Amino acid sequence: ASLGTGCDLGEDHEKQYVGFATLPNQVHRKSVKKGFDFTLMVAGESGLGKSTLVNSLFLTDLYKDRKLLNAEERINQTVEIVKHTVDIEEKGVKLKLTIVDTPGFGDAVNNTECWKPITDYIDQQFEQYFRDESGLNRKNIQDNRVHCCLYFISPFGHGLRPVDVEFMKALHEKVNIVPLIAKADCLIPSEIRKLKERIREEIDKFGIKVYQFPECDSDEDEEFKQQDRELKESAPFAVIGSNTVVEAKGQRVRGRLYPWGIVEGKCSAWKLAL
Amino acid sequence: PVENKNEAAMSELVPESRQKPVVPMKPMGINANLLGYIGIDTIIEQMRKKTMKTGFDFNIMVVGQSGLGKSTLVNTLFKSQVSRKSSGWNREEKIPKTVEIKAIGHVIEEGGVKMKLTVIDTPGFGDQINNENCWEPIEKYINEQYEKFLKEEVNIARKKRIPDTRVHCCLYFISPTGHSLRPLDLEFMKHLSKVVNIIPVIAKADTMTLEEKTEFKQRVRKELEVNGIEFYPQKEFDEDLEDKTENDKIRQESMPFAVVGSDKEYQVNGKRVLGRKTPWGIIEVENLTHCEFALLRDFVIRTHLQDLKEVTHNIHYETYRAKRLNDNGGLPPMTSETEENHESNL
Repeated sequence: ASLGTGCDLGEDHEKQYVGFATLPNQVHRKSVKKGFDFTLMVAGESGLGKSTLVNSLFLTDLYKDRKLLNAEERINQTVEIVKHTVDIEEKGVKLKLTIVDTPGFGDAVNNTECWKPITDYIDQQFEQYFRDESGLNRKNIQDNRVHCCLYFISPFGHGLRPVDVEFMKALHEKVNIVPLIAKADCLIPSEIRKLKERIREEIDKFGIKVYQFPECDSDEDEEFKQQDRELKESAPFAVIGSNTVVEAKGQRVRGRLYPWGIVEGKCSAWKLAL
Repeated sequence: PVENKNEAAMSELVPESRQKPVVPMKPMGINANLLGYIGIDTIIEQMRKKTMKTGFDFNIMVVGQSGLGKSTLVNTLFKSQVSRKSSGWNREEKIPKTVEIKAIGHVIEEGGVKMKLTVIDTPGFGDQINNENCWEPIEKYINEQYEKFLKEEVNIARKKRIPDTRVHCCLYFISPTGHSLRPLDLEFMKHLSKVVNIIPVIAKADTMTLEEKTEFKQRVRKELEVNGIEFYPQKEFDEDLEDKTENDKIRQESMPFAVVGSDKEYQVNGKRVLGRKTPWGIIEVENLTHCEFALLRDFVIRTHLQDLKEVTHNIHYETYRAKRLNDNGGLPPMTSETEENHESNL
């Protein structure tokens, strides 16, 4: 009786009731106490709205003190790995979020193998975890492995660019890649459709293994299943991020104010996935 | 040689659309009071009539990464389907492995004036993983046109009107990242601003809010200045104070033009306008509160078209010619025909 909420197995089972069905709830409670770690990598050319999107998603400002390099400074820049960590708590659930940024990726005139520092970093985290796992004191292993990589595709191209293909091929077997179409507010709906189709075709053609959202359980309700289907069909997600709050329809929302209208930051489908 | 130069330029003059103030002629030892109207000013009208008869050439090159709207913008500029995209070229085709140069010519007519417009596209530029020296095929093409013209010029049996394939204007498309120029942008403009008139434009500007646009433009202007990139209209070629004032304003405030292109029309407030229909409103291409397309169009076509040609002929081409003559020991390059039969007329 002291093992939390019991499961109603019916009167005949009462005598044999053990109570381990409460295990999921116990795991849940312990996890909530311990908190979660999540490492999210963002990659893509400079200027695709990566930082804005991250701030949008997590309703924070991780890049307050960032200094943007100008073109001349970037001529000799190499790809760096920069980590920002933030603790977020919502409804009692603690999340230690680490964002791994990759400034310099794809920006140089010659971008040959510009993903190498990134694959090296990912491998290093695996190596570290492996060592920790084999060690004596495993109580407080830090999981710094990259759990997900958001790859930003430019909305201005006609599909994937050579550097996009090579990056994803170099990483798809090391990390979960979620490709996104950046700055989607510059595209009209028919353009978004065409671009998504094109990208999906090319991902198939080049044998790139992007992250597949898991099948939802058969006992989920129809509405959830429908949402799940729509989610899968709309990949790659076309996103719009915003750091500013504007007035729209009498409400204050995160959005972008243009002379021809207001765009609300549309990350809903993605948030669901998260 | 001085006379020849002016002749070549004059055969392609079009009427100046901007009014230069009338400068009274200083009388030279003659009674200052002219006794009547002579009619010298009618030469403007005569030139205009001639030009209308002969028409003129204009060659515009577009450079920038794939997908920045180059073809659409050119179509919008000339309100006709003149780009590579419209000439049965399948724009869904793969990005070429090296930079290609594709020139497409059209004759368009307006108000009795015929323009032979050539749009030179440069697919493949900036699209590879390694873009080192990807501007070289472009520089080579531009110099080849100067060479062609030079060879025609030094020919004894010169054509009455030398066909002009020289690039008069190069629109360079900057990606609207909102941050700054890319290293490739700098490299291209550094190399090519010395051989051709470069007009930088910010592509697909509907991706930025008004604030972002203003900040981005300021940053880009500063970067261009710091790197010594002389884009058109170049400061050193301002002819007089009037030019300087007009061009200073354009250089320091308007450029680079943040543009949006479209070849589709929509109904807005009872008018049919070119635009983009987004879920949040219609972006009107020719509305100055939405983007600066109209400024670019007026600049390139309505006010500076002739100047673009003149600077190309009098400055860039002359620089090329001088270098060629110097390399050749003061003698012009020979075509195989001239070598066999004639002497150069220099």
